[in-house]
Amino acid sequence: MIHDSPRPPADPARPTVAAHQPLVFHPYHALALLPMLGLLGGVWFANRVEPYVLGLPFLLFWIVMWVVAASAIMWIIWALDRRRGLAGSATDPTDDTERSS
Amino acid sequence: MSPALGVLIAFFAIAIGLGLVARRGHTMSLEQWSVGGRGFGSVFVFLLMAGEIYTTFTFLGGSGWAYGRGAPAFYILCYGAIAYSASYFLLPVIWRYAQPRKLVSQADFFVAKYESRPLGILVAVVSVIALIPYLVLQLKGLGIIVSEASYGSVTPTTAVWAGTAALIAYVVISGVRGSAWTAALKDVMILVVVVVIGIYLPLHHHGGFREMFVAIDTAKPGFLTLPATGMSPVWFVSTVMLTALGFYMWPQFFASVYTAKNEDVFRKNAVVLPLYQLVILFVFFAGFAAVLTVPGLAGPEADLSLLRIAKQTFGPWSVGIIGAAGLLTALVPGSMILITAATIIAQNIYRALVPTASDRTVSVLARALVPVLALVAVVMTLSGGQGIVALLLMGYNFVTQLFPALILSLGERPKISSTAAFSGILAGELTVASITLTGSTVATLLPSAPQLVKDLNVGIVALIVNVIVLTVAAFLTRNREAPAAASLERP
Repeated sequence: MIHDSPRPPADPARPTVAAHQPLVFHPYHALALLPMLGLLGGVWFANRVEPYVLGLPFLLFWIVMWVVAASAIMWIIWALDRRRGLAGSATDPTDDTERSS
Repeated sequence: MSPALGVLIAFFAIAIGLGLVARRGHTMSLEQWSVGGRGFGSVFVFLLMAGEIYTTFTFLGGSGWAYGRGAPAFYILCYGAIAYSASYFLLPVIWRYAQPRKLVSQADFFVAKYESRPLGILVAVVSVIALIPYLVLQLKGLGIIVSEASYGSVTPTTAVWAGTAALIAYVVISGVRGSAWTAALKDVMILVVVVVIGIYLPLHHHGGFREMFVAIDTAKPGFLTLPATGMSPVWFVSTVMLTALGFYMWPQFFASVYTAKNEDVFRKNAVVLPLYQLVILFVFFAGFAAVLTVPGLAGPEADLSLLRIAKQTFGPWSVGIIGAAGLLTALVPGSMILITAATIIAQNIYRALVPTASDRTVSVLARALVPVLALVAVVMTLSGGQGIVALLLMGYNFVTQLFPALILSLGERPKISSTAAFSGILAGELTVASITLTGSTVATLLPSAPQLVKDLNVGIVALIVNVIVLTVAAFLTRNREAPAAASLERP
């Protein structure tokens, strides 16, 4: 997965185009793996009809729950990234100082 | 003429009108035509991505799978959520690299990263081969929708021709801006129509959701869970993983990344798109409502279930609106596919072979290719019977083979040589082609394997071959090509 492959350290002898925006991974980015674990791992024991939740057979409810959770989790990651300045308008290329190429 | 058909024609006209309006104020260079001048904000990119994701496959195929297969259809709801989570990290990196280099196609990305024109041509050929069956599928859906909504007065053949003509007209005229505007109309339509029928049909025919599922479970025990063999949890997990990997490898999804004006667009989309995906849940509801209401549609006829139950439940005006929503789910992805395929052939095959070609020639060629590609797809749509689903599965497995080479290129410089990337992709594609043409499954390839292994999606086999060949080639070429990969500029 992309989360496990951090960028190689930049070669200081060579200017890099992407140097102004390194890919930074924080431990909370691992939260993005939760929907995958919930959907793919959960299907093994959630594969049943009973109990019905919100009128849905349990397997379908389980999947819907994780799709909603995926959205919430990505929102949390986005909010944390913005607080650290890793996301948001700071990366807007219309700001010419950001563009180094 | 039925009122339903009148409604369809009216929406056809609106879609073409939107394409013409969208064009105003923009000179149509190749960059404007295929990536909208890279000026699209969150809303337009969202609409384009959503527009490409909710195709006739979700509308007719999603309900058809719920109707014909039951729980295995749930995989359609899963792979998107996983792909969107990954997109939060993946797409900004791709965009950041593509933006200053003015890339317009997926193959451009491989050419620039690996500094290899042959690799670009291979990716371009793979892309076009994968796209044609996808386009055929949209046209086939168009034919079904129009002929069903006309209550048989328009034959599917006529419908396919008329739909293709409209598609060509607005693609040539307005390019990707027309698609984005039509996508806006389409999304409102599909949201309203699918949610309304997804709620109304179970309540009307069964008195409630739980009542509907209980009735189905009683009539068809096991229909609402994954079976122990065949489309088992193993099949489910391997299929979701393969489709999630292939998700953004479709060249038209990849190219819509370039339309964004900044990278935060993708992060917002990663938050919103999973929720938006729940539209598919209502498509399932419509398909499940049809199980006991319009029984007897076997095999590929399951794709008709949504329209059949709609015709049985609603009057012709409402059927027209439902048909129009379905029509737009074919037109928007269809136009994006045409633009993408034409751009790839002009930019990554023609220009790679004729480097002296001017921008103008390439731009004109791209637009001239639109009707040619559309006609190829029409011929395949009208001649192909059962082969279409096989072709689409082949297309999905085709684009998934690009994933290992793409992910290994995302660092500052690719972790493998262009020769290794080329060999891996080629080996993977040849495996996909032979598996598809011989109709193999893991069970036929490994007859003595345990059932757990037999249920694996056969696409995994091609991906494994791809990674093995890629790894071996990477080690063999490691020292020879590594220095050449140091420069980041395009050749």
